[in-house]
Amino acid sequence: MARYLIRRTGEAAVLILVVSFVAFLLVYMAPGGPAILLDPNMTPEDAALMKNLMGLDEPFHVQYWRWLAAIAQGDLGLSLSVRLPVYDIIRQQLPNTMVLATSSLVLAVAISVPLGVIAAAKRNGPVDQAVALLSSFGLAVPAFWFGLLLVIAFSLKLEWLPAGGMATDGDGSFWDVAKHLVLPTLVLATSNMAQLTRHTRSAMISVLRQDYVRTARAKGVSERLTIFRHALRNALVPVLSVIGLLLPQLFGGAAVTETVFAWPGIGQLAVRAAFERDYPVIMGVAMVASAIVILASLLVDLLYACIDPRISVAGKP
Amino acid sequence: MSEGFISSGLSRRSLLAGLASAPAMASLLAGPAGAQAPVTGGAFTIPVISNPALWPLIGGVQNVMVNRVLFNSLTSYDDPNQKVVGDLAEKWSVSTDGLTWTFSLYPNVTWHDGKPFTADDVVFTINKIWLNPKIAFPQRSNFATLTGAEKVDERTVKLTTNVPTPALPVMLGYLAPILPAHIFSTWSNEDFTKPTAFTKSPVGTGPFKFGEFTPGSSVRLVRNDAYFRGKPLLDALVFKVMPDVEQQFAQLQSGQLDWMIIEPYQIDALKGNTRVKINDVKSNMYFYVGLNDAMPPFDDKRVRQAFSYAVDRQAIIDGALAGRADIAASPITPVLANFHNDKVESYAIDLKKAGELLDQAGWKMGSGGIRTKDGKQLKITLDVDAGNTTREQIALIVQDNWKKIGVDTTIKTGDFGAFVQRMRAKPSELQAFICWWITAPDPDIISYYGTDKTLNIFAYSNPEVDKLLDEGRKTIDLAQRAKLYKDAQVLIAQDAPCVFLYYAREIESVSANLRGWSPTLGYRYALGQAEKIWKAR
Repeated sequence: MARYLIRRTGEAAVLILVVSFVAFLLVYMAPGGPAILLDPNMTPEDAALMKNLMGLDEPFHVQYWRWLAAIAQGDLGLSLSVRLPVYDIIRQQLPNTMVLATSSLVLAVAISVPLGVIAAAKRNGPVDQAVALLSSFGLAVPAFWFGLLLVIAFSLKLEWLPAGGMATDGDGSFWDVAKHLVLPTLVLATSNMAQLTRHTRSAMISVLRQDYVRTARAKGVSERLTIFRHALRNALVPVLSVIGLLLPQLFGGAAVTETVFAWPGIGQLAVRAAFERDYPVIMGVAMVASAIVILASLLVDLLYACIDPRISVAGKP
Repeated sequence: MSEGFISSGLSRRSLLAGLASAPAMASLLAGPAGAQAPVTGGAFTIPVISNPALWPLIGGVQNVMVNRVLFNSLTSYDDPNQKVVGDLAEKWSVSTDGLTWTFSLYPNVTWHDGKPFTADDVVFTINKIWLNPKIAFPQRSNFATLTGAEKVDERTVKLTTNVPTPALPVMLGYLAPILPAHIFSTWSNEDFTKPTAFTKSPVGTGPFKFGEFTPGSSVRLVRNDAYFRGKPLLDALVFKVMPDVEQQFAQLQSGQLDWMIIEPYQIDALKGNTRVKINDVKSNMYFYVGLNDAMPPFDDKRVRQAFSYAVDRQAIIDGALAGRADIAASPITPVLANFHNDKVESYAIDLKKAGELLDQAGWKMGSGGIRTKDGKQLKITLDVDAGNTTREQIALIVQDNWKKIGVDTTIKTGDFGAFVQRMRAKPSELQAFICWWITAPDPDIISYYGTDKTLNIFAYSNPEVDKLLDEGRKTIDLAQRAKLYKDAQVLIAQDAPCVFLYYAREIESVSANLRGWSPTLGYRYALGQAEKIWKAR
């Protein structure tokens, strides 16, 4: 177990290094340059000076090495646009993304797992088809468009929920935040829900064909008990790995959802930073997000063992 | 000279919102509701496109908006009277040779940390920051002729220039905040590159002081009770970080925002909404189809004129701008009424003339309705930034207009930042492009139309215009100066360096209960007078 953990941690470190290199290269090659240098009023001399002061006129390898050396000491640098430490900004915005990501994941699991189970149990019936239709919709609908529709319906027409943001100015109580959380959660959960439902359904179907399920049924266990006690637990293993795979998507989706709803998370931060070519912020968010995703996939692997005793983390039978 | 299409590149929306000018008198407390007694308390909530920097030494709409409230400049601008008025400076005078300016400062001004504001702050800001080549200052080109500042006494400063500079008072009120010497005097040049000690808790002299910054959410500025123009009426100004324009619009409609600049296509959605009203605000801004005068076919003046005659500006204004703009013919806008010349060639649509000009230039009508010359077809690439509905519509109208005179136009859209970089490159590889300029309320346009000047993105050159513009920027006498610029506009219009499209207005939507907010030349100068804003109950 310990060896496994060490090996996985080592792999994760290499992976993060690779991600950082690729991200830095992409950022370096993107046309346009930092927004703060695009002020047309600025003389070419001042633009050059600013570039020099921020070390942006140096070759790629020098810039990357300097960034790497700083990050090794825990220094994520200074935002070009905001002139505050990247660490401070991320530290304040990351928890908001966690709140949104967690609530949508919980919502997605809470709805899709039962839906998938029912669809599998009533395979090819009208319920199954309805679920299939719903998940096609969930996969196909663009988040920004869906989000806008929800805002128009629930905020502007019905006036039930706030259009965006995380809290009312001067409020910020639990219920206030909860109200603000509803629409973005729904949008972010939608596409995940669709995928999760489909995976649960197919996993359930394959498990329901297994011998032990037939045995359970043969010995007269009720259908409900067969499905929930015997089949579901085994079907959950592949579903869990899908949830692990959904995490990167959750972060990607958060970028769009947070932008549409002005949710103050790191997704929105990343989008603006990309537009403004705020290199240190882009890199900071990329690092934090990839670290979280890699860590989460490690956790998922460990969880396998808890759910399915046949899987051993050490890789031995 | 301008803030142009502005720094923070991508805030296309905010770009529209221009520079502004101070509605110094008129606006006072009389809002649209008339003589109602002002109510104190409450907050004015406005959107910014991303986290603002509480650092006045960089551009970017979101930064400029917040810093406009936190800091004061020496001067401001009173648009209805076309006059520079005092901000931190109470009055000023210029020596007879036009080289020395003496500014008297208001008494009883204090910094947000309680320290008194004095001539030392002005001298420090100018000598140690604006004129320091080791510190980046985006507005430096506005002060190219400024050579130094000198303290006369606690409340008097002397500024010197190497040539007479009539535009100086305007420029001092244009994105040139005065900073606290008592904080920065111990800073090294390097410290200005990493100013976090200041950006975490900025100190200015403005009507509202720093309250709280929640990254991703908002910046909250709170009332400065010691403000030298009187205690502000509102409790707070809240700048909400909202990257998405549609989200801003939704919050405006639902009453969570008090103000935003809207796009013409959004006007209809506000019909019948009693919470908000729409104002057209003048702006010293014009839109154009930039032409690369150094690149064929636009190196031929006749071709540029023909392209100008073909564009249906009224169709653009009616079709893409909901009628809220005026046809443009010269680069000095009617906002500068003393200097604007409305008697220049305006290129009213005339397809016949356009055709004749192209014929003369050798571009004969060929097969398929496309003109050709020396076996080459008349093909133009028209660049426009992606994502702005209004500008994309304009591009389509222009494409269609040019087709009628035998031009095959390809529209190319792309990221704004990359677009700006290509536009500024010298020599530019852009052929034709849709963009705009917002300039300070002064007619000095030499940076844009002077041969080889930094912002001359059309690669335009006319020695006669160079002479007039150079004379104009040095002439103190108003009547003489006006004549020089009016003459220059005639020549520029004849040369058609670009296709002038329209003089834009800021279309702002504001809460119906907002009072004391009456920008006459864009919102930024109005933000500088935030102490007067209040909300009726």
